[in-house]
Amino acid sequence: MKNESFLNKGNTIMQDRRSFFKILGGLSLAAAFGNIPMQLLAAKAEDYIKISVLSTNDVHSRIDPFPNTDKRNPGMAGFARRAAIIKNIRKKEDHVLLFDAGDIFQGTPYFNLYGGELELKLMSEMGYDAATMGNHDFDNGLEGFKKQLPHANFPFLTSNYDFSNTILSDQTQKWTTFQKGPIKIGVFGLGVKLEGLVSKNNYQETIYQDPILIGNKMADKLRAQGCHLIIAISHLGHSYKNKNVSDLVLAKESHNIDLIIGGHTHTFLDQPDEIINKNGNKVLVSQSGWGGILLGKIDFYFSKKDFSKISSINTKIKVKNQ
Amino acid sequence: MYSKLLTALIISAFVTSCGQEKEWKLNNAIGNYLQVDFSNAIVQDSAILAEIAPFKQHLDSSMNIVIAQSEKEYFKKKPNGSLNNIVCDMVFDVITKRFDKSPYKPDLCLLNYGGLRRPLPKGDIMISDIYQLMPFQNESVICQLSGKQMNEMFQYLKKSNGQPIANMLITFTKDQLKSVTIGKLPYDSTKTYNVLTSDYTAKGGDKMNFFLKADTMVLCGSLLRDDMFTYIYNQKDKKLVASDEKRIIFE
Repeated sequence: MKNESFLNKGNTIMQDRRSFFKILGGLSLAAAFGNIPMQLLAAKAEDYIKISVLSTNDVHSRIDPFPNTDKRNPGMAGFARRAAIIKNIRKKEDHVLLFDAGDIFQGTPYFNLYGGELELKLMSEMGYDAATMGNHDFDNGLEGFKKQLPHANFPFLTSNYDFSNTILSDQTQKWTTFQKGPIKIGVFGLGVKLEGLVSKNNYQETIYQDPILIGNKMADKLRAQGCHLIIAISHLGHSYKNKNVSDLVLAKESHNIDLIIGGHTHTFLDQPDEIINKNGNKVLVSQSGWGGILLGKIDFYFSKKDFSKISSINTKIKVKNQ
Repeated sequence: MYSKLLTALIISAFVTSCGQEKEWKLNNAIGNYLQVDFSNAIVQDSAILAEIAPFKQHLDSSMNIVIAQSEKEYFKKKPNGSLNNIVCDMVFDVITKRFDKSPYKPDLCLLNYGGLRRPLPKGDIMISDIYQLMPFQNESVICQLSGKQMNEMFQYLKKSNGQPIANMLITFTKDQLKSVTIGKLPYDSTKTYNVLTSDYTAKGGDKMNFFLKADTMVLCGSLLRDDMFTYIYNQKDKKLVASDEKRIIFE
């Protein structure tokens, strides 16, 4: 495993950082360094590679911004505005990936009238690299989903749904990889249990498979293929009070996943959660609310030099506005 | 002074950390959530806006049509909410009239709380408001439930802290069912009741498994949403007033 030392020395580092904070006094870290991890300030640009992973989830056909009369989110979100932000990021960054964690469909009359056509067309235009299926993406049945697929120029990754006895057989992928400079990124998708959540008519003979079993299988396979970064796009939900499989449970039970981009529970986080996996390494669990109110942005820094002594995961800097 | 200290620290950190050339490996990650609002991108992407425009125009002309007025804003709430009541009452009214002479005429209505997706706004109600409240293509169905299944339904109502219902009043004490009235009559456990619901819950959606055991399920031939439109269409003054009756009481 090439990056087994990934972020697993957090404790000693945090102590270093605390003393650093003391020396800096009142000077805000974010103000001093912007978004660049502090040890990389000492590195030359060619010493590290930055991969920016952007994500949305549960956009629920929110094509237009929320109306100004909306109580909770007046005037927020909207595809055209998100597209502008993404374009700006692409101008600044060399390596950008863009994912959606499902429930693209349902929630505004755009879906009732056009069945998801516009959602997928616009996502294609915005350069989405992959998405997974949420339970509401089954709302017009397997046929309704299949009918819209030609409007998407990106793959749907559904690793734990066995569609082989359905019309979606061969319409989605189990996994895919991306090459960004020297960095290889492996991505797969996990869906939520459909029974009791989606009408049987709408999922038919789709077989739901254990997401932990499949997730670990996918991640191991992708690691063996030399992936430096392994991402699960999940519609399992962030966490539950009961024993249902969630992203947090998956993270704990995993051994090769670096990032879980979640959905389903419409969870707003101040920062991605850090979970220790079976190997004692950190896994990031993210989710970006819903409706396109937030765009998740996680920057991964790769280096050939061994900075591990002073490296730690740093998700504490919260930048709401660019 | 800070900057000198800082430089010294960074240099020492860099010197001690200079190792051998290796494979690329993951070193650090920073997560942010960018708010998609006016402060973030004043200019909307013009290509995307142009692509939306014809869809939006068509949608506005077919959906943003005022069909009724609402006295207040109606919200869903557990165990009782004005939105819970008005939606159930509208659908129940339309289906009981349609099935008036039928043996399947509904005795009560039970919908799922999760199916109510948006409040009904105050003032003008447009077609799009009804779509957003009830976006799913769920059909109205009637399930015949025996006493045993009714009892499971009561337990479900208790466990889930209430669901939208119509034509039924139910009271729970701390541990058990205290009383049930259906229509104007007390509940009779020897009787079979016709329960109006959606095909989603009738097939066990939201774990309403008691519906799966129903001997008879009758399709009403309409979507729940269309029943709401029918109700409004038949209403003379086009004013939507929700009942604030407490139908599920926990003592």
